[in-house]
Amino acid sequence: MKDKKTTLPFSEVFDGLKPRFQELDDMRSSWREKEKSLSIFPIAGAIMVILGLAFFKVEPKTNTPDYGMLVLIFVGLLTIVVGLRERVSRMLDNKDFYKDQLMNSLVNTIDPSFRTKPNSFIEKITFLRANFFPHTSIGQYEGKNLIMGKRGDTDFRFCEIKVHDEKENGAFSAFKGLFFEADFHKHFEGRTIIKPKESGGLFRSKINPLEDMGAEEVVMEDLEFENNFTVYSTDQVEARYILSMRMMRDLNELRKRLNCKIYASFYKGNMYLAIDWNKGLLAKSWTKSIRSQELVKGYYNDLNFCFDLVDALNLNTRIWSKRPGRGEGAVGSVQLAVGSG
Amino acid sequence: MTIFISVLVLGLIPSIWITRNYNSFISKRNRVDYAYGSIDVMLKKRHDLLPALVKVVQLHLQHENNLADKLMELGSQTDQEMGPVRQKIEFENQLSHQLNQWRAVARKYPAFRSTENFLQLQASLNEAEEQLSAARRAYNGTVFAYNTSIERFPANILAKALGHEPLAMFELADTARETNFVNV
Repeated sequence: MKDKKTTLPFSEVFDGLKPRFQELDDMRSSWREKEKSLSIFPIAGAIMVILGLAFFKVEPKTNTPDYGMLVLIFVGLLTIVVGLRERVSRMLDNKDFYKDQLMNSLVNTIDPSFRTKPNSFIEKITFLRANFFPHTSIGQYEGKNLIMGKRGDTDFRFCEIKVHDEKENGAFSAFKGLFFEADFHKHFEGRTIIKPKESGGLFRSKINPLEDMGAEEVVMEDLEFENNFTVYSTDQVEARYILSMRMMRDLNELRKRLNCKIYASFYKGNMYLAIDWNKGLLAKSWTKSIRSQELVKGYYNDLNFCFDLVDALNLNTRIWSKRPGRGEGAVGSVQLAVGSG
Repeated sequence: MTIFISVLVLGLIPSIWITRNYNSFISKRNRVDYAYGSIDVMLKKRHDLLPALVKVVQLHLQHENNLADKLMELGSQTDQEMGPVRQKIEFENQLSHQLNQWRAVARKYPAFRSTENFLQLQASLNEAEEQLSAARRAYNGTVFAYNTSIERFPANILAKALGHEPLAMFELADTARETNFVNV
């Protein structure tokens, strides 16, 4: 097992990154100013439309409209559309570039070998493969803030995703949060899924996500784990091999720490986690100044939390015969299919 | 007519109850037997590693003849019919103790511990032992469900009449955890 990466105290990280953050914040402020100045075009367009409408007349004798005013209204509308489009597209470009730089700076401090792609996300097929919501017709799938790397011997990647359930009467949010994929440290053949325990006591609905594959519910010995989660697996012994006492304890701890729903799935040598996390990575970074230590500390802690999942779930303990990254579905093996937001 | 219906109902209810419980005992007992089969598979996996262990000890740890002999002796017994569960548990505990010894000896020789042979063998042994532990947990889970079903009132009366007895859990000394090789 390789040593855990030591995490620097935040004050040291912040001091080290201060010059870079100042530079980034100056860049952000100047871009925001420029964006504001681009508002002049839609405003001018609106004035033209208002004037055109105010002075528009139709000659009563010949019944001909005032073509000059019509042209003014048309030009005004065109200016509004082009101006707004230009402003939004420039804002998005700048925002993406800025977030990319900010995320890179923070992630590099934690581990320079990690790669970030703020506009990308883990492909939909991987989410479907994890089979967290088998009875949901997943329609729109979008995401951002993809980060990938190798912690110790464990390949991992994660991103934020939003998944919609398309029903006959409209689309509903099925899941919004963090999607995490990592190379699991033990070899296994079957399928195991862990779902948060449904509330509702005796009348709770128990939907077996692997019913088609002949999977059954697995009753675990850890009572706290049993109260928090329901396990389904195609192999009762393998489920217990995956869910060692320690793994159950770690998942209990994680749930306690986050106080939100956690889904886990094990398939083709990989572990998938979906964490119903309301927090967004680098949220509000475009509108707020990163000179504020508190704001950056929040970003830093959130990122560290994601990287620490590998350690928290003990995935770096490599004492079994499975060699790192040798799973059938090696993490990130479908790099070309990484979605783009 | 009323008497006929009353007799029918009074006869039907106990029959349904008996059938339901009888089937439940049988299906739970079958699950126990099936889970026991998994333990056997995992034990075999561990036994299969013994010749390799003996070979490695003979090759790298010539001074530890005693350990090699004991492992060889245990290896020769694995082919024999074990008989009742208790005898099997006793044998497996002996084997676990010897595997502990093997690990303790390995600790004394850092050069040996870094050989590819040792690392591979240790990984296979860790895997076999953890799979055995998982099979044991699955078996104990089924035994727990079976014992609970035959000990609950009033089903215990029927279980006793049908000759169902509580089964023993499969408890083995956890070698890997004892030696801190596996922190699971």
